[in-house]
Amino acid sequence: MQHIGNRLGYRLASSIGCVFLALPIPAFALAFGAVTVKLPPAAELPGQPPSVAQACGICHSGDYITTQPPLTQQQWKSVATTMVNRYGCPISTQDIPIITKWLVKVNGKNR
Amino acid sequence: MKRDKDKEAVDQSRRALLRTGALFGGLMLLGGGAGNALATTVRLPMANGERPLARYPQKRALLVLTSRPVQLETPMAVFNQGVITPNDAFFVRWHLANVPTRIDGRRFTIRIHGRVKQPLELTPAQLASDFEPVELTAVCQCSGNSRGLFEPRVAGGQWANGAMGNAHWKGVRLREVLDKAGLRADAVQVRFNGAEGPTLPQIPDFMKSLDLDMARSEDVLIAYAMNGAPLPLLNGYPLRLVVPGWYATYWVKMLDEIEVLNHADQSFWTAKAYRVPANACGCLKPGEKNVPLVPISRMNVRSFITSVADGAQIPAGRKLEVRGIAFDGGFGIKRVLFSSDGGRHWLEARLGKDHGKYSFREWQASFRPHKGQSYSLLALAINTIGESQRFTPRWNPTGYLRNVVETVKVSAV
Repeated sequence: MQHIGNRLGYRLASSIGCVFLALPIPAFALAFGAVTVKLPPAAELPGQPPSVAQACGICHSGDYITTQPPLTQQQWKSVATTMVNRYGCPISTQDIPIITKWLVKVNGKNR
Repeated sequence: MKRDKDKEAVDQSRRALLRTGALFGGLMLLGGGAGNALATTVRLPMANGERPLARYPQKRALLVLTSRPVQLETPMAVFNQGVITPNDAFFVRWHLANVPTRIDGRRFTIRIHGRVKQPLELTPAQLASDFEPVELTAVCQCSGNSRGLFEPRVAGGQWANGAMGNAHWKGVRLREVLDKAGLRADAVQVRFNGAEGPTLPQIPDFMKSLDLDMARSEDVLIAYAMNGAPLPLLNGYPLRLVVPGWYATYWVKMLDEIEVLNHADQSFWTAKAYRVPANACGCLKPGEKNVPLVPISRMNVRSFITSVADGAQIPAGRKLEVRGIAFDGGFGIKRVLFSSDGGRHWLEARLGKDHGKYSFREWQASFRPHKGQSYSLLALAINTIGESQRFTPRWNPTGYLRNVVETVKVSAV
């Protein structure tokens, strides 16, 4: 725990001053440091995504698609439509069939 | 080839799990540990259930559900190691792609504004020093935990059962902060926003709201510590809302804004998302339309067997200790029943130490397996107000609220 604490930069506040250092350290004497993380790369979009599919990558990585259960053409169309209508995906509704065709190809289910 | 290797890795982890179960309290070898050194992927019990096992910052090797936004699942073996889920094993779920990768806790502030008399802006250090510290142990569980086990399958984050964790939280009461700002008479809801943001203006920002009564309840905290340490960045450093008993969607991470509203929040994530059928079951039939919906809220009762994995082989001819965890939405676990014969006979499990009504509760039971026999192990938890788990899984199109009695099939050798 100490190790983690140090790594995160959770340490004594300089503001507590020398006067209090002899006393047991109360919990609120802990301070909050700077934390920087470097994330592993995002998974790429699967298959051969059409150019309009680059919009998918604005919000999520390709594994959001490949970890879905295999879906029917109708279900993928519904997902793509939801992304546009509810989640603000910046593609035209005319592009939904193109995206759907690609999604069915990479993770489709024949009913 | 790859398939065989994956299978071998899973089998190996099952054997490790079994050994630990038998030793009862021995060290569990996790992904990243020696026992699982070969495993780079784990296969969850669902179609497209392959998950890389990878280390993210401040985390041990966890199951990667998605790399952006980062979503990491805790391997079930972790829950057999102790009642508290370590910070580096705690699941991760972000909604939006724009999550800060650098937070300076000295400069970070939380702003309290809206229908208040005196808007406030506080650093984490000020919160910690100016308000009474409060500590409690509580389960944080994703609304969609176990979504991948729904049948028929539904779209969404395909979690198995590891989108949950139990931590010791330390922070300050939200209501004390609200009272310091002074609520105006017309306040009805409180909205929470974190540093997580959308990548385009038309993408809804992730914000959640609570009714004023809930926001002002005793145990709702602005937490600045988790298991005695600052929160890992991926769990919301430096401040996170803690809403004990309620699903994790309300536990807003990197909390930097609290806005008091004089109307019901109409923003996307409260008014349109995270909603469940407005019936006692929270379920509907596949294809059923126009069912009224309400915001998801309190967690239902669940339990898991943690000492043996599904498909494991267990030693015959001597008593096998089985153990696991149970929890609910804040009433506390009263009983856990255990069956080794698929639910025909039940025995009372022994409950472990009580860490409070919001915590995992450990339990143990034993039975004597006979050589060559197969067993269906079940655990059924009941809370202090008599709520229990379901025997048939509920279904809803968003994959929320699963709490069916889970079955662990084992064979004695």
